[in-house]
Amino acid sequence: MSEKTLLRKDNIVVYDERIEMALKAIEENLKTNYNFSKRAIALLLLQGDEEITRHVKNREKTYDKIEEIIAKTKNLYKDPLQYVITLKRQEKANEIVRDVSMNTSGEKNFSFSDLLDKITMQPLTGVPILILILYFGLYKFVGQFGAGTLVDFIEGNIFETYINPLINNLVATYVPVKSIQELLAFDYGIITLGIRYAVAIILPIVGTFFFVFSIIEDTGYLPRLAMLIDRVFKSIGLSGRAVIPMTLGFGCDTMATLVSRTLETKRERVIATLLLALAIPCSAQLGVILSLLSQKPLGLIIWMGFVSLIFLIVGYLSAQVLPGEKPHFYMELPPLRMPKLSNIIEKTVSRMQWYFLEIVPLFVLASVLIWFGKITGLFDSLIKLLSPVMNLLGLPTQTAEAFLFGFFRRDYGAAGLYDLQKSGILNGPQLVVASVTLTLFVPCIAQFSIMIKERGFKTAMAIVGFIIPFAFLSGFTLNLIFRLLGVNF
Amino acid sequence: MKCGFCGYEFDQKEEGVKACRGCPMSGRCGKVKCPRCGYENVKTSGLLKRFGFGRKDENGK
Repeated sequence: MSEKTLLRKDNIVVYDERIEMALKAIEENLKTNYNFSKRAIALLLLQGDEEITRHVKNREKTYDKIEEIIAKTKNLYKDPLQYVITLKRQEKANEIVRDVSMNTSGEKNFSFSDLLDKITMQPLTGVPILILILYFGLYKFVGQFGAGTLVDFIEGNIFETYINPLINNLVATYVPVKSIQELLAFDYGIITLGIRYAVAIILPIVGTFFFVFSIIEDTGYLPRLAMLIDRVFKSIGLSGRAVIPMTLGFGCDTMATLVSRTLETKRERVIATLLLALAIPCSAQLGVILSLLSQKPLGLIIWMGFVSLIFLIVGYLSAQVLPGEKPHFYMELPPLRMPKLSNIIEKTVSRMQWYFLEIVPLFVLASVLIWFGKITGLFDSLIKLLSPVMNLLGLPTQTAEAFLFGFFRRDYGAAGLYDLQKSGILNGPQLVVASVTLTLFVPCIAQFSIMIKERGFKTAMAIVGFIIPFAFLSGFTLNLIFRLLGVNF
Repeated sequence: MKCGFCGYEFDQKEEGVKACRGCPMSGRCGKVKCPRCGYENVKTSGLLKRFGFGRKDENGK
């Protein structure tokens, strides 16, 4: 097809009558020269382009009239104008492609890939597919294999049998000062607690999680998931775009809070930050909780249902309370791919290496702080302070330790809970109450500092000020429900 | 590098660096932000590079 034919007039995008009328009216009010066609400027104004709007506002005396035209046109549509305009352009692009191309490969117009596309994004089939992925990927592989089999082997057969007794003996023999002995070994030592948590509990869990995540990423499922949950997210003031920070939050909530800056409106950014801090557990926390509750499937279902319900209710209420424009979301879908094992292994190992380098110094620091808290008596005072709250939740006093660890780092707190469960002091309902409260409980120090940086001190404080009582209230309510119904498992 | 979320192909050293500007962890976190959608893609670790591992594209290169 010649260039002349491609540029003929009927290949220019013509929008519907209401937009065309608005464009004409805006063009008539653009009096100065912009080095672009007035139609292009008018289209950018209708789409809410910030830079062009600022320029036009500074240069046109009749800007008030332009603003009025834009507002009236917006009111004529249910969807944002940017979305309406983009859809029309996409339609035209498809029409042009149909006119200038033909299928020579003999492939059917509707392929297997198209079918997969459809069934992963339609709620009726997409939700069961998502449940299957979560069941086999997270519950079976991360929860039972990673956090169960692997952790049991590394912790029980390597650390508990060889490393910890060896370190305890060496330290007791060669280090004369008792407080320094406690810093390095025994119950809260850097090696016997900090390194053990990092290597024996957290690393196998995040390793298996990263493996599953890399497969999901490499197949191209994530953008389809974004499309699937777009409708649900819209009801809580977010759009499918928020699937990026939310998904990343299951890896690390701190990084995900940083990524929430890519969301379009301030309202979306605040809601995403709140929900990340409240109801999205990080990979290690998720893995440990899956492992804790995998022996009690009913407990796991209650935990998942309760946290999801809180995610939706808090999101919905925030969307009602916070003012701002409703979000919209569309994206070009990349094709579904068959993942390559070499790429998956490479991504998993890279993620594990970065994660390990990040957590080891923090876990060591946490052990030092706990040691300092122990020798000064501060740690015990804080635990005493938290004891009545633990009692209200129906939990033994020792659980306060896991909550204190959790504020330092979410995964450290979850690992603390894992230790408690192993000692057999928590029954089924107590385990669920502790898991729910710890999941909802305050973000770790790193996430909190990024919240201050990204959303400002006031907003970050308001979010934490809401989360702390809310987490304990939720745990209290759940405990009360268990008691009233006489639930025990 | 190809973004694991939106499939956009970009130069890790040029566009990736631009997208990470403003982040306090920039250059030290082992991830590269996609300039189109903001998704964080993991960089190949230095350890794996030393052993000759690297991500392969669809043509196996």
